[in-house]
This record gives sequence, C-alpha cells and structure tokens, in this order.
Amino acid sequence: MANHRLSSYTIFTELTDSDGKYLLTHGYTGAIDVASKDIADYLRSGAILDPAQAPFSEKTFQSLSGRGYITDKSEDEEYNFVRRMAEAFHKRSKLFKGFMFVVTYNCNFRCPYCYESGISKDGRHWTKQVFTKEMVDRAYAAMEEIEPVREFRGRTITLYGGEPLLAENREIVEYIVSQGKERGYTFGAITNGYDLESYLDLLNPETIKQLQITVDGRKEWHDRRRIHYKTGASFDKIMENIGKALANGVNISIRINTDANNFGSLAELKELFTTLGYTEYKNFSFHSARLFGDDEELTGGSEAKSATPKRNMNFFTPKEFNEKHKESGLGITCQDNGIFNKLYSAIGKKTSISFNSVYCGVQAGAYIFDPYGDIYGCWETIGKKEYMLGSLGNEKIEWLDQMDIWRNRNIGNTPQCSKCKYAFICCGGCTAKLLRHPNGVLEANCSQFPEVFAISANRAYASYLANKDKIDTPDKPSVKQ
Amino acid sequence: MKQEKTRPELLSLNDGLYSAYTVQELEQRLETDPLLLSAGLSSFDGDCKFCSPFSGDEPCDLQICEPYCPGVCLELTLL
Repeated sequence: MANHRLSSYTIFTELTDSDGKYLLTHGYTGAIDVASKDIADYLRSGAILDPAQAPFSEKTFQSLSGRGYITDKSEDEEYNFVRRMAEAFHKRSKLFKGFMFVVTYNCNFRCPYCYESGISKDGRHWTKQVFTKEMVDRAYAAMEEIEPVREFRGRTITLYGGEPLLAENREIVEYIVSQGKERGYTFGAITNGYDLESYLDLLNPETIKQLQITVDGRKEWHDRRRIHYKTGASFDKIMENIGKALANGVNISIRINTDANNFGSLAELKELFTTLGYTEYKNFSFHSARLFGDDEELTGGSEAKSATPKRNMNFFTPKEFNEKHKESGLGITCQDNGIFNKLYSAIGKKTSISFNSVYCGVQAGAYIFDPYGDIYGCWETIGKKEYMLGSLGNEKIEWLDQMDIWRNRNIGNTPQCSKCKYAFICCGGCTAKLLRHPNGVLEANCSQFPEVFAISANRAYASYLANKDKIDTPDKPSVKQ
Repeated sequence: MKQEKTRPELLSLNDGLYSAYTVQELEQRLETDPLLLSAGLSSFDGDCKFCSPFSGDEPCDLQICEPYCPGVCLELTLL
C-alpha cells in the first residue's frame, strides 16, 4: 500500500469567522474545500497519513486524496509535475500576442509618483516625439510579422503614453484608430482623462471603447497629485469628461492610486460617483491601486514595505493595503493579485482555479511600440533602451537578446516558485521589479503574497456564504461580489 | 477510521480540477492544434471581467490585468 502524505502544495487558510474551520486550497489541482479543524490538524501532523488512523471517515480520506491534499507522490514527483504543468501553461500563454502603442512619451501632467519620470532625463524634446503615419503603418505590418495567425493577435490595441490622448495629438491618434479599424481592431486607452473632449467622436464601443482613468481620491487629494502642467487642478475637468465618455457608451475603469495619505478620501470619492450618477452606468467601475516606492521595486522580496518615502507619499505594504480595505467596509475593489477573483470565480462557476505560470504578458506575448520605433515588452520599462526587446526596422523587425530574459521566465523555471504552493495563483510576481535584483529575474517576487492570500481567501469565502443560495442553485446568476 | 458524520467533514466548493490527464491533453493540443486554444476566448477581445480592467459591473482587481496582457488571461481554459 502506498504511503500517503500531505501534498507540498496544500494551502491552509484559517477562516476567521467560521468556528475554527479551514479553507483548503490546492496549488496544482486547483481544488477549494472547507475542512474542520480536526482534518486540518491531522493533515498537518507531519505523519504518514494512514486511512485506518485518520480521525475521519474513509470517504473523507478518499475525497482529500482525490482533490490532491493527500498524495502518494514524493516531493520531487510533485515538483516535477509542477514544472511540467508550468511549461505547458507558458507555451499556451505564448500563443497569444497583445499590442500597445505608446503614442508619445509626452504628458500634460506632473504627478510626483510617476514611474516614467526617469525618462524625462533625456529632455523635453525627447519626450515630445510622436508616432508618424509611416510608423503607424510600419507597426501594423510588424504585428503581422510577429504573429501571422489572426486568431492569436489580440483584437484590442491599447493606447498608452505619456498621455496618449493629448489634444495636440488628435490627428495621429485618429490615424492609428482608423487604420486599426480597417484591420478589425478596437482600442482602449490608459489616460489621465484631461483632454477627452477632443476625442469624443472617437470614444464609442466601435472605436476607442475602453478607458482607464486615474483619479486620486477626492478633489483635494487628486489636485495635489494629478497636476496639470498649466492649470494645476485637474479634478473637475476629468469628472466632467468621464460623464461625457460614459454617455457615449465607453467602458470606463477608474484607477484610484492609493496610499495611507489619501485612503481616507475613498469613501467620499465613492459617494461622489454615486451623486454624479456614474455608478448607474453598467460601463463604469472603479478600483483602488496600491502605490509603492522605488526601493520596493529593487528588493522584490516579501519585505514589501518601501523604506524611503517618495515625495510625501506614505506607502502601504500589500498586506496593509488589503487589510485597510477590508476593515473599511467600503466594498471598494482593491488590488490583491487577483486572488479574490480567482477563488470566488472558481467557487461560483464550480471550476478549478484559473492558473497561470506567468505573471504578465511581458513573459509571453506583449509587444509595445514606442514613437521611436523601439519595441518593449513591459510598460514599466518603456523608454529605457537597456530593456528594449527590439526595433521595428524599415522592413523587418530587429530583435535583441533582451527578449529571452523576459520571455523565458515562468514559475516552473524559477526555483523558489516551482516549490511554492501559491505559485500558480501568484504567478511569480512582476518581472520588472526583479530587473536589478542581484540574482536576476529567475527569482520569486513574493510581495507578501501568503499574507494577502489569507485576507482575500477569507473574503472569497464570506462572499460565497453571502451568495450561497445563488451559487449552489443552477440557472441563477452566480458570481457577484 | 471513524464513520462519516451526518454533516460532511469536507465541503468541496468547486470541481474540474487539473490533473496529469488534463496537462497531457494540453501538451498534445499545443503540439497538434494550437488554434483550437484560441476558440471562444472572450477575454482576448479585451472584454474579460478578469483580464481587463474595463470590465463594466465587475471590475478587475488584478495587478496583472492590464489589457495588453492576453498571456495571463484567466478565462483561458485548458482545452
């Protein structure tokens, strides 16, 4: 008879409001179960697990085995399986290519935390370069060179910057979208929302159909951080533009850059969105995004607290950030590496957790074209020539060695990740934050993932209990936070 | 070994788990017919509630969800 042991990929999460029960999650089968404390204690006893000695029924023992928590595989056999699974997932991810145009590096805002501010060292003239029509044509041709199979090319192109929707760049943006539409693409844009009135005729579900707009809390905080280079204050104009774009049927996602300083204004901002009627739109949403400092990017480890405050910012660690949102009771969605969505979706749809072996498209099929004809994979490194993947060239793309560094990383070939029970959910963390790590990018970037997982797993289970009737009864809408 | 209690000791919240079989199927599909893996991927249109921040009434809270990241699409299924 085979020796059974606790799988190395079993995650135990104490359910804080459920009388000592545990949420069991399995790191490569994707199972989610609720277990009694007795079961959890037995599994963690460190013993060889014998069905005859178990303090629960044989049926339960078999269930635990079938779902992966009890295994007859050795540690090495499990590690090898995870590595194989990670490679397969990575190959799958690499099939799909997504494209982004950095219309210009120029921006009409002067935000104190901007991670792109470093590229301004090359001078204002350098940042003012804008795509030309010839380069747009070249970029579209390059997309087909990169991926000849239409089905593997993403059908939504993202416009990025700098600020991609500056009023002064209307002509080239119109050219980009008209050429894209002829080829069957639609567009999204990451914008500060200030000059949107110059683009209203392009903002519709068939053209530029999605906008992510950053609003940093209530007016007082926003205007202190999101500073227009001429007018200073930007809040009122952005709010007005959001209403216009919503009326055009554009999907708008508001990103609230949050630190400890402006956290207290989230409630007011939420109320304002309601007062303005924006929350009535199905195409409107908002979420809180954690600000972090440069030193956190450098360390990349689980000690995620940024030691050096940056220009009056007061950063949260990932754990603090999630705790604060949970405690607030505001119900504002916040970044948690997708843990809540992954777990709650799996529960709601009765499927496995959606796993991946890469954290971001830069490790698979993301291509970012800038106004100099340079190609990058990660938008956090655009404009930094040392991280270029290649350049468009006149007729044929010229690739650089950087490509391999970015594209080869997955959780299977990152030693610490391949042995981590959270790896297929965490996906290894941001590669860009590891670029200057002394050991290179084949390192784990944990960023307090286990701590955040515990918070979000409890949240997912609480949401399940709140919606249990809908979820467990077929033919009713199931997944709703 | 105890008899099972009236109330289940283990409550399974989901199904459709990954296994050696499903991984092998994916590997074979990648080799023989990868195009099939692109079928029905609403998320790849940028409309996925997981993989896009522009998700309407169910906003995505993924740090990784930026819309140019089809490689991390969570609506991708194994087959």
